[in-house]
Amino acid sequence: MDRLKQRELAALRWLLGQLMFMVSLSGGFALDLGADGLILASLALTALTCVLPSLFERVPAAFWKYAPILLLLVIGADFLGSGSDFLPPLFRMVILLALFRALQIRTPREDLQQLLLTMFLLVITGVLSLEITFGIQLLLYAPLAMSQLFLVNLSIREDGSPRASPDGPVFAKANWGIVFRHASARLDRRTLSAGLVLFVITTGMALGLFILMPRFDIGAALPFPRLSTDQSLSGFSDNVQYGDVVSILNDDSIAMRVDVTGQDPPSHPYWRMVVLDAYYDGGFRVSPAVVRNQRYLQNYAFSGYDLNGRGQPDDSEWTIYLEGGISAYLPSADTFKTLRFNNRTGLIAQDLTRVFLTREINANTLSIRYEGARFGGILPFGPMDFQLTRLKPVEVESADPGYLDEVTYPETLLAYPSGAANREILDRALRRSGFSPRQSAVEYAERLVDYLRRDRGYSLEGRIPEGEADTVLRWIQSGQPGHCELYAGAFVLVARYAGFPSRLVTGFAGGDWNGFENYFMVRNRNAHAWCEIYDQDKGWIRVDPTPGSPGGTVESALATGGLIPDRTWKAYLDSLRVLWFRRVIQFDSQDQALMAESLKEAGRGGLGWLRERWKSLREKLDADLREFHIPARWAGVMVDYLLPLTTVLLLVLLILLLRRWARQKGFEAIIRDKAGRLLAFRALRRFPEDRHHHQLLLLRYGPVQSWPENPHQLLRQARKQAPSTSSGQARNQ
Amino acid sequence: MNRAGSKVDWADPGYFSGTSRIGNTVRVLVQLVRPPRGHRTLPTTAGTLLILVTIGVGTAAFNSGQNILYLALSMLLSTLLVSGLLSWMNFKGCRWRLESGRHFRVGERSPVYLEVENTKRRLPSYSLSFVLQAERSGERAVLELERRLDPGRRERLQWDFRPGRRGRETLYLRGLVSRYPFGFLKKTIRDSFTREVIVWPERIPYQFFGDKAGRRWLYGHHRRKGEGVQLVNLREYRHGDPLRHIHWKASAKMRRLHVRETEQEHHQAFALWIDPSPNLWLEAGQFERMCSFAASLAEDLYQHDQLRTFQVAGRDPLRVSTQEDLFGVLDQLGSLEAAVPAAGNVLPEPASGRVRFLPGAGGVVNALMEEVQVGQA
Repeated sequence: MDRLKQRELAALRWLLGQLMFMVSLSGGFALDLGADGLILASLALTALTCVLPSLFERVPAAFWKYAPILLLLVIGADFLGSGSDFLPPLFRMVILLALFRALQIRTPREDLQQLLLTMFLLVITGVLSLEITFGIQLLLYAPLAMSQLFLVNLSIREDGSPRASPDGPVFAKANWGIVFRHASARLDRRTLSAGLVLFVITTGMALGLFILMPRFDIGAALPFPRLSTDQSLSGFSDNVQYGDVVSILNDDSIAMRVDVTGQDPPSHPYWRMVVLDAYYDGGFRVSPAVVRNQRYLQNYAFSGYDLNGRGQPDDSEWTIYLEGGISAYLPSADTFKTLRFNNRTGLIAQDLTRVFLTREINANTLSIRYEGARFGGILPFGPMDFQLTRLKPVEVESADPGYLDEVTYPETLLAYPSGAANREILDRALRRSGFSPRQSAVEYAERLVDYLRRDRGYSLEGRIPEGEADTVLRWIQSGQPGHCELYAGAFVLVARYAGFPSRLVTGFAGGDWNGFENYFMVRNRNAHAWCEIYDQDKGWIRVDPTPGSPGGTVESALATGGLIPDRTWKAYLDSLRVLWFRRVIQFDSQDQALMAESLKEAGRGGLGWLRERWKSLREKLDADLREFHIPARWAGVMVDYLLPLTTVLLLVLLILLLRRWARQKGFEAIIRDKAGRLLAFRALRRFPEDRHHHQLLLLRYGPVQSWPENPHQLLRQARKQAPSTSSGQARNQ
Repeated sequence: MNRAGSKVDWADPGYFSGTSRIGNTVRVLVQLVRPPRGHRTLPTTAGTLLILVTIGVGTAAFNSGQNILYLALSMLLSTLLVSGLLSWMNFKGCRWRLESGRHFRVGERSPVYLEVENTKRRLPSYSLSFVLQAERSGERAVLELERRLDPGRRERLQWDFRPGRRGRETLYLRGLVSRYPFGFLKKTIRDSFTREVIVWPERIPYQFFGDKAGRRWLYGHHRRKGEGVQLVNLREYRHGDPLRHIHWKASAKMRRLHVRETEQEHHQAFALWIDPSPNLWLEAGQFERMCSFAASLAEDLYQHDQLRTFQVAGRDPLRVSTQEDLFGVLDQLGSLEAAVPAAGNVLPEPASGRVRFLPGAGGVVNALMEEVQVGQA
């Protein structure tokens, strides 16, 4: 049987190249780089050439001659057109170059070029997307690339020149069925098995290296380009109108995953994202003063505002994997000690309202980690909060944004809409809510929440009657059920009218508990709006006037059935993503130290166990020997020296015997097994009962002494005998 | 690593040259860190590129702390490591030897065989290349094992060596090269096998007139049977054979009567006499021509049963009666150097049938017998 011919090797190389390109390309869909159309077209073209290689014949030679020039022009124009944003044109350039190679008949050298391009493409998509799809791609790509390299190596001579020149018609007329049949018939099974073992070894070694490779202090890490987008979810921007938050409540997709380490996390944490202090045009917005006072930072770690040690113990870590396209505002706890990023990141801190946001909206998953995060519902005093005690409610013409030039933070926290109709409703609300000037903010907040919830329900479709007053005030008057934005907006305006500074907060509240990997799956439907009211003794108090807001810890909620762990297959698939982020993306020197510590502990435990066992055995032996009246000195020698020596000798002897037995038994069993399989195969194919048949019977059932000197050779000969030539005419090997 | 000169000796990478398994294992581990002499592993162009890419990815990984880059770096590094390991395994269990024919003559192709065997039990070997070189002539050939070498199988690769110079030639296996498995590393085992051969002088056209000196130039004639003492043949007894010709020992052995046939006593044959003195052969080219002339003449004389002895001044005469004797003559001529004959050895007096070679004018070489010129080249 001949080996694979060079032309068949070339065809396999070409096919592997196409597959590698398609695998590396598939991850591009996870990126928002404006290349989806190009990716789709490239995939379609490559797949088409795989199915119909004869297309090569129809492409005029002139095309391949001028295509590189055309390609360079397109790439240059793309770079020029993209300005300073170099990532999208770079990505498209790599796709175009790889596509150009994919559509060509390639020499072994060009196969290597294509391998390099596809590898570059794969790494780019992985680095920019950080998705688990990169792991899957890598697992698919690695064996393809290794096979490709192996075939390329078989196709070149010692000096690097190809063994056979590329032959166009080979592909044009390639019948994949025939090629595969030849390949499968001529593939050495041992080589295939060795290849599989090799892949496992390579992957295992790569994992080992990944774990053991030293990680430098993340503080030294350089900023890494991240993809940004212009899109964000409504409700998480500087300006929120009524209905913005509610509009995404029907969206069941996951907005973020929250991994919790430490004890006793709350079952319904409130993730502050945007704090809106200024009432404007029936909605709320971030006032210009807050924006003016914001700080621009560039670092990998940021200290929180919890300078008084109010946060959880330091071992409490909340790692958030925020999906791309949600918002530039980052979800944060009420207080925390440190906020960490994987890389040096450009951050904006709105100190007045204690909100963080990135400079751009991330297009893909962003992982951040809070240390010492706390969700107690109380925020400590801010830098300008001391002014609030002497401020009075301010009536503003809220339809005109010009009022924000005169009324600035912190006065905006006491602004309410002007107009008789508005004042009438606010007065009524004040009376009915049981306001008294001696009440503290907390006391009045409780009364106001009771008033707002009284005889009202929750509804996403609040029916608000027409009238002169502002929308949210008309809703208060109507007594209709409403949603979180209406409840929160109403609370803020009434509280301000009563003289309590308050602000509206949007973010996420609660989430589903993943039953497989124990983390919060916060979906878009968990988007929420609530309020913060200022108490001059305590600081900013969180108030959630929306009916049905729960509390408690995860543990208690799970125990009481308040929090039902999600164990559906979707949750399982989602847990894989979190595992990917936990074990791969977030893996750092701390994890390495933890692993080393765990290993050390396990080693210590094992040694301790052995020591204990040895001690008890020794004591028992001492006692036994004393029973035989052996002097203590000799007993010590026997136990300390003779016993271990004898044990070692016995072990060595046992190993030697086992090896000898295994060698004999193993050899015999393998030969008998192979002979049996060959006999079965021959029976199936109706081989004649010739010399080989009888020798195989001897190997299968006969005594070892009657076997020929080299049974392997006999098996090989019998295996190579084809049914058609079984009369003795051996097929060429 | 075995250095061998005979046909049956094999050479191998020397990984398991000891008898102790532990010793072999230790040796292999040490060799992985410090390769033995002659073993070299160098990156190919693709390998260099891979190393550069690995350095690039590694630099990016360490500077950015991106675990995706660490993952890619780990994969690249493990591929390099596995590549090195497999490259080692490809050589493991392989052994090879050089075989060559007896005859190497300047300007004529002679086969040199390289036999390679895979003694591994399970795994085949791939992509082995053997670089053969002749030391003196500088001829080089790369023999490639284009097919998979299954366990327990042998392959024979052939190099048609065409020597360019007369003399002692050393055929080297300059390198056993493999780029297996991915073509990143070029592993070479250098100078693992040598084989000494003697290249006979080139066959050249010449003129020879033996009858000028009263000798008959007996074309087509062979050794004549006669009444001499030199045994030519044994044959069965025929009626009328003299009883004194019966070879009793052979007859007893073969249980039938056999008689001796002896050479004609006065058979006229030639004796070649070479004087390699440098004061005689001032020009190297003329000396070479003399060797070629003598070798060509000796061969032709032997073919026609006209060569009796061959002698180089200062050495013992060689009686030429068998083909091996002729090969001995050609070997002597192949390795002949212009040198002063051994002390005490005087130039013999011209004897009957002795052919001497002397330089002539214009680079020609003359053959003289009994001081009469009988040939020229």
